[in-house]
Formats: sequence, C-alpha cells, structure tokens
Amino acid sequence: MKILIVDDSLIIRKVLKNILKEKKVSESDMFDAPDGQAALEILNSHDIGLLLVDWNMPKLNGLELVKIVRKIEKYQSLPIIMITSEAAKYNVLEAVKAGVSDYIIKPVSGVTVLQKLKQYL
Amino acid sequence: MKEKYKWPVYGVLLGLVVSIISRYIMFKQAGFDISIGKMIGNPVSLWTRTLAPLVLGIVFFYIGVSRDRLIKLRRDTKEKNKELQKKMIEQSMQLGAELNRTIDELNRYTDQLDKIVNNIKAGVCVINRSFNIEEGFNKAFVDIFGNKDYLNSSILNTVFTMFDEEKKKEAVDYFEQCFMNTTASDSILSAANPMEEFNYLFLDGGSAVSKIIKMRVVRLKGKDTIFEKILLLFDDITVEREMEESIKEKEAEYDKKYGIIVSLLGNDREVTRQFITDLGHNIKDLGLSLKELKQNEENTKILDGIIGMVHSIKGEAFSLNFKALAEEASRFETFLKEQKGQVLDLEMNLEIVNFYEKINIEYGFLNKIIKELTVFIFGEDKEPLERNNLGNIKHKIEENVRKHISRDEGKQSAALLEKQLQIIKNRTAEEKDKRVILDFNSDIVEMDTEIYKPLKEALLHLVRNSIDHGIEPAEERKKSGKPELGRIKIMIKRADNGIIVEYTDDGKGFNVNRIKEKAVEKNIVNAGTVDKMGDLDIIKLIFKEGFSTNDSVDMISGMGVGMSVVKKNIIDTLKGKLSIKNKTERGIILKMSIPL
Repeated sequence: MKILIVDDSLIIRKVLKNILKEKKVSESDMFDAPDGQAALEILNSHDIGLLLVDWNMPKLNGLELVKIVRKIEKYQSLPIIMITSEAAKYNVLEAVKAGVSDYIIKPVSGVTVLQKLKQYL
Repeated sequence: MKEKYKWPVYGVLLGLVVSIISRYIMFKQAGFDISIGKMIGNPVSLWTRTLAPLVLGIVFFYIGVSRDRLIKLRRDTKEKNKELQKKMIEQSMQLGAELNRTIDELNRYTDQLDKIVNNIKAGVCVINRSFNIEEGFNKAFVDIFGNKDYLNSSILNTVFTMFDEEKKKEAVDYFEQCFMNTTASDSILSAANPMEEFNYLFLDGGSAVSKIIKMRVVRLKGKDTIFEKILLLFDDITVEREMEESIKEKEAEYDKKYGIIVSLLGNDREVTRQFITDLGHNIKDLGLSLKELKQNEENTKILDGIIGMVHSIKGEAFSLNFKALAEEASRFETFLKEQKGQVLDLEMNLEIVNFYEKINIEYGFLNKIIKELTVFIFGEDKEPLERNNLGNIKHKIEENVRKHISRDEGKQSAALLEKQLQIIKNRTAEEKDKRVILDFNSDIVEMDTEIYKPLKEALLHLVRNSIDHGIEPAEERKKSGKPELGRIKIMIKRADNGIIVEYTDDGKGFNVNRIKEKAVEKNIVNAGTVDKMGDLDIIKLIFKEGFSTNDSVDMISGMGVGMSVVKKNIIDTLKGKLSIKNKTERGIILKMSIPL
C-alpha cells in the first residue's frame, strides 16, 4: 500500500517515515510532500492507500487539501489521518466535516502514531 | 367369526326356518297329507321347500360381505383416526414443547438483555436519523433525565434542554456527521463530540438540580454500510466533578498552607510573632473603624484611617511573604481608594465588610497554621509537667512560645525593630532590583509598645519609599559618582524628654519640581499658591494624603499612602515633630523627635 505524508516540516516527515519503516513499510511505498499542491500531484499520479496530512501548511492547508481529495472519485473512502496541534473540539469537528478519518495530536510520538496506524496498515 | 361367514349361516338358517314353516303350513293345508302330488302341485311349497334357504343364504352372504366390509372400513377408519389423532397430539406436543423452548429462550434472552441494559450504569438510548429516541432506553436513562415521554420524541428537546440555538445547531451538525460520514473513525468522532460533557437541569419535584452529564456515542450499522442508528451512553458525573472540585480546593488550601509554612520558616521568629500580634490588634481596630464608618456621614477622615491601616497590613504581610494576606489587603486598599470622596451606600459598606472578612479569614488561617505547627512540634499535651523530663522541656518551650505570641508585653526591643526593618529592606530591594544597605543604631534597648508600633510603621514606610523612589539603580549611581550600594541610616537616640530618630538615605532626594507638578495635578494645592512656596514647604506636601510621585499601584508602596502614614504616626499619634532636609541628588534627612 502506498502511503503519502504531507507536512511542511522536513523533520516531521522524516520522523513519520522512520515510524512507518518500523511497521515494515518499504521505502518505495512511501511518498512525501511539503505542501498541499505537491501532494495533489502525487495523489493524481499514484494510487495512494493512506494519507497522513498536517493541518497548517503553506500554499494549500491540510483541511483544504482533504476537501479536494474527497472530491476525487478514487479517494472517497481513502483513510486520511490529520496530524495536528489543534485539539479543540470545534477544530476536530471541522476536520471530520472536511472528510478526515482520524487524527494524531502533535507532538508525534512513535507509540501513538503506531497505535493509530495499526488499523490502517 | 367374520360377518362374511356369519351372515350366510344366518341366511341359510332363516331359509331352513322358512322352509320348515312353509312345510308345516303345507301339511296343515293338506291335512297332513304327505302325498307327493299335493306337494308338487303347490308352487309356494316349491319356493319355500327348496329355494328359500339357498336364496336367503346367498342374499345374507352379500349382506354379510358388505357388513364385513363396512365393519372393516369402520375399523380401519377408526384406527386411522386414532393414528392420526395420536400423530397430531404428538406433533402438537412437539410443537408446543418447541414453542415453549423458544419462549423460554426468548424470555431468558430478554431478561438477559434487560439485565445487561439495566445493569449498565450508564443511561442508554438509541436515536434514529431524525434524532428521535427509539424503544429500549433503560432505567438509568430515565433516572438521569427524569420521567418524560421519550419514545419517538427528539433528543434535542428531551435531553439537550439546556442548549441554546447555537449549541443545538452544533449538536445537529455532529449527529449528522455520525450518521452520514462513513470515513470518519470512532476515535475522531469521539474527539469531535461537542456534547462530551454538558449540563442538564433536573427538576426534582419543586427544586431544580444542575447535573453534569457525560455522553458517549456508538454508531450502529444498518443493513448497508450506512449508520442507521446511534447508541448514546450517558453518565451522571456531577458527584465526580464535585469531588474533583473539592480536591482542587483542598489542594489549593494545602498549597496556601505550604506557602505560609515556607514563609514562616524563612522569617525571623520574633518578627513574625510581633507581626501576628500586631495583626490581631490591627484587625480589631479596623473592625471598630468600620463600625464608625457605617454610623458616620462625615467619613473621609475615618476612611483615610482605614486605608492607612489596610496599607500597613499589606506592607507588613508583604514584607513577611504572607502573599495571600498581602494580596487580599492590596485589593481592599484599592477598593477603599476608589470609594474616596463618594457617598458610602449600603452596598459599598457591605463590600467593605466583605473585604474585611476576607482579611480576617486570612488572619485566622495564619493563626491556625501556627497553632498546628506548634502542636506538631510540641505535641498536644497541655499539662505534661507530671510526665518525664522530655515532657517538661516540651512544656517549657511551649509556654515560652505562647508567652511570646500573646499580647501586651508592654515593651518592645529595638533589636526586633531592626530585624523587621532589615527584612522589609531586603524584600523591597529584591523586588525593585536595587542594592541597599541599612545601618541601624539605637541607644535605646526597649521602648513602650505605644511608641514602638507607630514608629515601626513610619520607619517601614520610609524604608520602602527610599528604596522605591529615592535610591537609584546601581548603574545610575555609578554614573553620578555615588557608591553602587545605596545606604539608609537610622539612628535612635535618647533625648532629654523623649527619643530622637534620624533617618537618612543617599538617594536622589526630593525632586521639588516634580512634587510641585504632582501636588497641583492632585489638587492638593493650587498652582498660584505653590509658586509662592519655599522648597521645604513644597517637600512637606508629600505628607499630605493622596500624594504619590509614582502612579503605579504596586505591592511595595504606591497610592501615596506611604508618606502620609509617617506624618500621621509621628505628629498625630505620637505628638512628635518632623523635620526634613533635602540634599538634592544626595539624598534626604528626616529628623523625628518623639516625646515620652
């Protein structure tokens, strides 16, 4: 399964990739993008099976990206996990309405990410 | 014997009887002539004589056969009926048993379900896509929300009764997502739940009780992948919350207690004892003044007195690091200052009493902790004299402690005064980030409490003011060629008929122009008058109530009360004299002479 990580922080992308490696996800199945625009290009040219996306990003923010992705036919039931520091109730509801499947609160730690990803991998 | 055989025999026998009877009749007719002619000539006799038994036998045979058949048929039918009946009974019994089993199972199942549903501590109900409550809400649910017509009524109107329109919209928004959104996980939905905790007004007879309810959501899948129903679980967490609150309160109290204990340990014992004793008197005086304030229309003077007392409490409590008390007094002081020049109505008076009570509570709290500490250290035994030596020692220490804390010793030592001043100097210098030395010299070892108290108060204010307004920061002092360390000198000398106290600091002295401006600004004097005044007279304006060269209200001095307390205590209370010398840029000299 191909996994796409979208985060403007290189470090977070690396951390998430390392966590995925622990789950025996091969390097060739991992994609990453620093912003929403770049992510859309990858989503269009590949069949992505899991999307990890940051909320706050330049150009196209995570929430907008998710709204666009949900409109793409093949991605209507794609598991989308939002990585966010916004844990307020109304923010989460906003994310749900946009089409987010699950969320991970920053700061990301290996244990919590793995726990969350278990059901999607 | 079978009918088939029985009946022909009956037929033959009947035929024979007929034959015999006919023969008898024939004989009788013939007059018992048995001649052959007679016999043959009678047609009846031929029939009766020969054919009757045969014909009747054959006829009866058929009767027998048919009867036989009938009987057989009857028997067969009967048997078949019997069998059928038996079968039917068997079958119905089986069916009945099965039915009973099913009913039993069903009952067991329902019982179990009831037990499960009712044993769930949480209130449970199921809502459909129109947010209406369906059958199957449990007892706990009714216990939480009260007896109502729940079935087929909207959850928004029965459970979320306290919600305003906006909150209701949010709830609808959320439930819609629960039903329609198939991609959202349970965890994100539970995180997004805006009703995770909500208030519910429970009407228990005539009284209304506010409950805190926790709600969890379980989506129930229908035949397709969409969610048809939502199971809602409610917990009444009012008691838990209350407990949490009380734990928090307790923790806050412990924190406060701990803070006080730390302050007590950090403070000088003598100074603290003096402070506690003074505080007790001050609070008593304050109470009396408040009473006066209530009864008196001309209250400006009384109010000023009260402000002064509260100001002293604030300053001293601050200097001994009793923060809660200091902050309470500071708030009280601010409030009192705002009331100046206003007509005190009942509401304000009540507010003032409230503040006073708060101060009183803090004082009580402080005392309680000191007592607890004393008990902790010395034990609770009041009469340990008869006990062992250790008990005697304990008792003596305890007695000593009590004596020191108790009031009316009559005389106070100058050493204690120095300690208190040193402490306030250290605290204020630390707070204002200044470096200051306090030189204290006294010819007098002890003085009367009546002198000690106002003098101490005046000196405390002077020290605070010197550090706050007079002594410059080290950098600034260096630039103007002064030693980096600021210096305050206090000399107490015995004079012919009293005491002379000399107070000096080497700060920047009084800024006459600034005082002029302020005095005019604060309406203490008018601009015309102030121009004709000499420098010294202008400086004396700082002793007027309401004067301050520093506008900020802070924990150190502020509010301009400081210097007026000096004047009030030395001149009004102690009937002394006060003279000032201003060494511009080099500091101040204050001379106080107090008659005995």
